[in-house]
Amino acid sequence: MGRPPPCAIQPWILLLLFMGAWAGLTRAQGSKILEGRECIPHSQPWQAALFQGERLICGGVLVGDRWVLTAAHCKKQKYSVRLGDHSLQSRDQPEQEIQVAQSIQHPCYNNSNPEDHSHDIMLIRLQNSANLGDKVKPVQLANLCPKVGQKCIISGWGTVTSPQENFPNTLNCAEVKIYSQNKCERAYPGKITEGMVCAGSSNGADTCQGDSGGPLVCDGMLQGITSWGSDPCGKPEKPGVYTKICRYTTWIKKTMDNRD
Amino acid sequence: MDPLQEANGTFALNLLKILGEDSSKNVFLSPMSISSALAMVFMGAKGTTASQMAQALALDKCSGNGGGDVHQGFQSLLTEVNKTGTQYLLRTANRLFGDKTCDLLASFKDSCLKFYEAELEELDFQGATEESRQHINTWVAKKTEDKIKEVLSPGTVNSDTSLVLVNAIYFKGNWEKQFNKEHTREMPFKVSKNEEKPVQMMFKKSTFKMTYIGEIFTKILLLPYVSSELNMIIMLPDEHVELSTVEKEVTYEKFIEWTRLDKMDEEEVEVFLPKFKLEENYNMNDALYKLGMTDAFGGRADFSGMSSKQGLFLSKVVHKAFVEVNEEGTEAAAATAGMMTVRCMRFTPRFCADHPFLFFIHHVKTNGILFCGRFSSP
Repeated sequence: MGRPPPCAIQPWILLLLFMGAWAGLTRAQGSKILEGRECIPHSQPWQAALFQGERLICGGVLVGDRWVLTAAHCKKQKYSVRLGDHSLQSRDQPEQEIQVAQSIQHPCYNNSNPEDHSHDIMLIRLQNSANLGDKVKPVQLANLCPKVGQKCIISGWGTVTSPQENFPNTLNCAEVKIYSQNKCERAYPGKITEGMVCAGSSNGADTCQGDSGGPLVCDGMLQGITSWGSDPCGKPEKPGVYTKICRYTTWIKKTMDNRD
Repeated sequence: MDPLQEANGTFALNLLKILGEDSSKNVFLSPMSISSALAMVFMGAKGTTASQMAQALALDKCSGNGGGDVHQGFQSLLTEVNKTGTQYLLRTANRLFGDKTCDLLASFKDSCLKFYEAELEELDFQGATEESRQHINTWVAKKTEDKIKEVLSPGTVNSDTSLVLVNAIYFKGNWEKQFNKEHTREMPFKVSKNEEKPVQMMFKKSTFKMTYIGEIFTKILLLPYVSSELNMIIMLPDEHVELSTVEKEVTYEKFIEWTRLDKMDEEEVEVFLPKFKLEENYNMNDALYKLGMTDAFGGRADFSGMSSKQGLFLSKVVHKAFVEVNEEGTEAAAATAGMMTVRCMRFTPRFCADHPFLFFIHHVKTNGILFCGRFSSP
């Protein structure tokens, strides 16, 4: 997730206001800024952060009072989940930190091959239930698959620049669009499965390191979990790749029901 | 330990400290080149002049009577460093110019050619001062492929000039792991606590040898040049540590200990390194004087091994060194293609040279310090 450095915000706003061709300008300038901005605090109440001690490792998504969905590659031996957070530095009222009781990777996820990103999805069972409210709220799982061109929101505390890494203190949001499966396949030949969906933007808005496991939310429904993409991030022709939730809702619900 | 290499290393670090006294200035020099040029002059020195030169060059421990071991050592060293077929570009111009009235001995000339691959040249400093200066500059420019154009600025030689030792060197190497030009971007360089200047910062994430020396609060990174014939060793103190305190602590023994390859961990590192050119010009007289080499520059000089004529003295020792550090390397172009990776947090150590650092270009086979420098300010 990214946003321009503070001094660059105004020019981008001006470009947005005055120039329809700003996307082209972005490409011409070779900008790798990931084109996000700070989220309105608690506007993504399902956003979770996975921590190993004091270190952020991934994002996550609250899908039930005891359940967080994230990427399978985010699994660690011992870690915790933070909910209701906006600024990682300050401890504010709605924030909750809960230990992980169990990590359940999708049974088809290939743990041993880091090149295989298939079925990159995992459920985390929390040690105790989260206190739900308007700032800590599960997201609804998509029952229909996303439409090409649909606008979605991505969010996370990952780096806002790439390849040099700069980590924001606050949660960042950006808007991306769903790419067609064909376009996705052309961007990453031979790498895209039916369980993946690509989303990107002509201005380079993208998820990046630290955002894995975080949400791709379209019209209030969870459609994707941040999984992988190009390195460096932020190339319009190389969109972010998300685990496609509509393909896994049955597994998610069954797993949650069986262990509640 | 090789006594000559120890001598050269000690001399290198001594020079770095003297030439780097003003901590706001960049430094770049080739101590090996300077010491070999001075060792050539040393070959013609006798008496107190010789013993002072041995001390300044830290040659005291190498068969102290100025015997052949030193000069044969330099012969081997220079042959190795200057051999053709290397992957790095090294252009040197190394010559002793004497006034035509000096009557340099044929035996001395022969020895210079034999051990140091250097010819002597006699010029008319007395009668044609400016022409002599221009002649030297033209010769240096030619030898360094026009990289170094004015080694002697106007007024640096005069009608009293007796001996001028000129030493100019240009270096350009290709990295074993090249940087991607597309990743180079402007970043602030923290010149001091209160001042920043923009610099073009290169970026590379790859496996490198790196270590941390707690004694001096300094990270040391090793960047190999092609075929690992040479390495750039970079010493980067922590943010809050003044580089000058690190410089004070570096001795040859410590440098060798800290940069031992078997002690450095190989790990994936994110390297941020400024892109820079340094072209530094040094009148070495003052520095050498501070190292104890005093008689050679005055009336008490004894260069009877060089010439039968009395009153010969070293008028000037000039060193000019030029280095280019950029992205170029030998990785295939395909290496610049984007990679694919998961987007969890990476815990990659970072080596971010965005504040003053020391660097050394190390010749692996001879274990010698070819160059050393300090990048203080873009």
